[in-house]
Amino acid sequence: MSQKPQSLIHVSNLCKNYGENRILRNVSFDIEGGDLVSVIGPSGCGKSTLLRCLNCLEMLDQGEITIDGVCLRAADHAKDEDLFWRLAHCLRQNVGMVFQEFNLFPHKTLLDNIVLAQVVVKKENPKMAQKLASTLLEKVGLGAFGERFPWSLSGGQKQRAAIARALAMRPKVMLYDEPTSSLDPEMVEEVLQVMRDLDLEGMTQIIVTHEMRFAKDASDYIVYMENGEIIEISDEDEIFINPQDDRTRRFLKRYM
Amino acid sequence: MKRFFSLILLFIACELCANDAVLRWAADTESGAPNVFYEDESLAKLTGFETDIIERIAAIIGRKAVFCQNDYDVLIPGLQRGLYDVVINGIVTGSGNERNILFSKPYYACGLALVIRSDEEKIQSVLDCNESTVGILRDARSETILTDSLKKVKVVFYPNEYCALSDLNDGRVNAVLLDWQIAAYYVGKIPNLKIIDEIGESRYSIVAPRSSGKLIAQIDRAIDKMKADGSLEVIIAKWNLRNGHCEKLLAGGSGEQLADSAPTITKPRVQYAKILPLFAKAAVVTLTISILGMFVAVVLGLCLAIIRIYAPKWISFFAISIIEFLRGTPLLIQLFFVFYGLPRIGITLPPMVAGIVTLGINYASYEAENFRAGMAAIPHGQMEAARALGMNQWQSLRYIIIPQAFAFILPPLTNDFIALLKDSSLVSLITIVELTKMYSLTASNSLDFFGTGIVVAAIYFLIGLPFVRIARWAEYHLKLEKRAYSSRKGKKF
Ligand SMILES: Nc1ncnc2c1ncn2[C@@H]1O[C@H](COP(=O)(O)OP(=O)(O)O)[C@@H](O)[C@H]1O
Ligand SMILES: [Mg+2]
Repeated sequence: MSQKPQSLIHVSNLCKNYGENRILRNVSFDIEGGDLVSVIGPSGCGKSTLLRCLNCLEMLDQGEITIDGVCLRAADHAKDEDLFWRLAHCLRQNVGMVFQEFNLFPHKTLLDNIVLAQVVVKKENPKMAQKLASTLLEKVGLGAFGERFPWSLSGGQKQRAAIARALAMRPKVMLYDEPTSSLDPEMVEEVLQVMRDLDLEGMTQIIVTHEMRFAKDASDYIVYMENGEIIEISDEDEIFINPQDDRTRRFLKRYM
Repeated sequence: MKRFFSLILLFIACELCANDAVLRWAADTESGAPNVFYEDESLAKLTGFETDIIERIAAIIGRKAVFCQNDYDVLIPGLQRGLYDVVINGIVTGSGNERNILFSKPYYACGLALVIRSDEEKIQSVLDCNESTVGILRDARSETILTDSLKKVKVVFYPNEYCALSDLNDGRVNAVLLDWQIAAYYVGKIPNLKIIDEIGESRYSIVAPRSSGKLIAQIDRAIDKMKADGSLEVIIAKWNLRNGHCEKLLAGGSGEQLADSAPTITKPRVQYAKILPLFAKAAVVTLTISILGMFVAVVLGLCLAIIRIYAPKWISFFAISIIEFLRGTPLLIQLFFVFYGLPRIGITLPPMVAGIVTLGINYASYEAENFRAGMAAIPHGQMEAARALGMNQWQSLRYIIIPQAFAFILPPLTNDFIALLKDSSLVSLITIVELTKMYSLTASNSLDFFGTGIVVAAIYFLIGLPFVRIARWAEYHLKLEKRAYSSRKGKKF
């Protein structure tokens, strides 16, 4: 087992099964603070499952996850379930998540979407929460849309609002699961730009994406997954110019 | 809201004020003439020969007579439940196998009268009724008399004498057998009817719970006194109800003859202006019960739905069983069970509370299903997004899932409210005077089931109308909301 939990995110030997199906097999990696990491790979290879494990939306079956010093071990669940879930809650506090389908709350305005969790989870003063929400909407270019309901927005606007909502919890890490996959092509860029801006501010981000050009240009690392395993982790240029593994080469060929 | 609660408090207060200064007596004024009934359809003043008698008795024993309305069928259960002190409503001395009540000395006696149409030729006495259809009130005596002596008679039961006699008039039955005094009163009012035969004798007593021996003794003494000073005879004469049987009963008592003339029995035309304020009051009761009942249903239904979806399996199974059981039993039985059954195990609810609770519980089973469907319709991503933001399961339900489910089920909820509004008419059977009860009270008094019926139907409709509008409005707005859910299929490479 690796003994250097210095990095912001440290994952070792992570396994996840659905019944007989082994979805994640001994996944291990480290990510330093401030990095932007793209995860690519064919459909069904376990990318979403990996992100969901990092956010404790799924129970891990084996291995351990450390994010910003909070260490969650699958083995602990059997020992002390209560402690495990308290740790999971702590860990989740440091992680923001953005979904392919936005998942904004349709019965609330954009501002209320962003205020709600701050008040309910962090017991933030509503006035302060409101202020932060306005600032964040401004930041993602939706300053004028605070009072609008999600259904009156375009897909790109919704996704930017969803990013603002996740940022309001002041996470150390942002996870994106195919954030642009359900957007019309002309809206993809506005969402990607938000992520680039966040990268410049030093946010640590993991992005599951099919936008190869974005992955190539913006990422510090690219992770290639297949069949529940990490096949290759490498520099953004290297993987495109000179993939180390045959499987990676075959996959990338279809995009180039 | 405040007003509703004060109304409930009032009912509770009524329950509690069982003190000695008043004599709470009960009867059914519906089709109550000439025993206990209202002078006119404004239901302002109570009259009838039993009213006169009980008021005189109350005066003699030094209590204030306070009237309580209850349905004839449940007069005795209400007595045992402590809703009132005594019942005076043509109860036959020693009738039934009521082990738990006390009978006073009889205050009146008469036979059973056979009523036929004037143009009837076949039937001249009770014995001619074999192979005929005879209407009777829900009264074991007349049924026993008929079926014991006549093998082929067909007996039809009627809820009240007016229905029986008007059916006779319309030719649906060949004859009606009922208490002579009621027949005597009505035969003057409905043309083409006559009394041809009289059989048997029944004596009427005031009844009280078995625990009220002292009260019954007082009442017996008062009745003796009324016989002695002739006031009983005066009352009976006033209502034109003298007959051979009661002469015997009164024998020994003297008294002046016919002090008053008999009350008029021709009805003036119904004055709707008079009954509208009554209906307004009754409508408030109906609305109160319906709204509070719905409130109970929604809160309870939501709890059941949450338990059903999120609780451990065996608790969830328990919730499902409750829901299915409540949905599978008639509301009326639940109502009687809660009101007359639960006191047996020490839970005695005031009528209003019993009505609201029963309607609420019954409808909770439907609302639970609505909520379950509503929550299932919320995309799974909503719960995930809430959990990803750090909310726990309860917070996610409370702030994200339930509000959306609520918007989703508002239309069926409103429909259920309309249904509940109509079902609330059943609480008239547990002594509450709401719209339906007010209808049968006023209409059986004025004998105008037609016009009054249209009025009361219109009131029900008008009460429900705003809620139907809300349903439409909600449906429209829900369509806007739904757009939020319809996202395009993600483009996968
Ligand atoms: N809740 C689930 N139950 C059973 N199998 C699942 C579940 N979720 C995902 N899977 C399976 O896990 C595999 C990986 O899924 P996923 O992580 O969504 O892949 P990706 O995001 O890379 O397309 C797929 O084969 C999928 O069928
Ligand atoms: Mg996926």
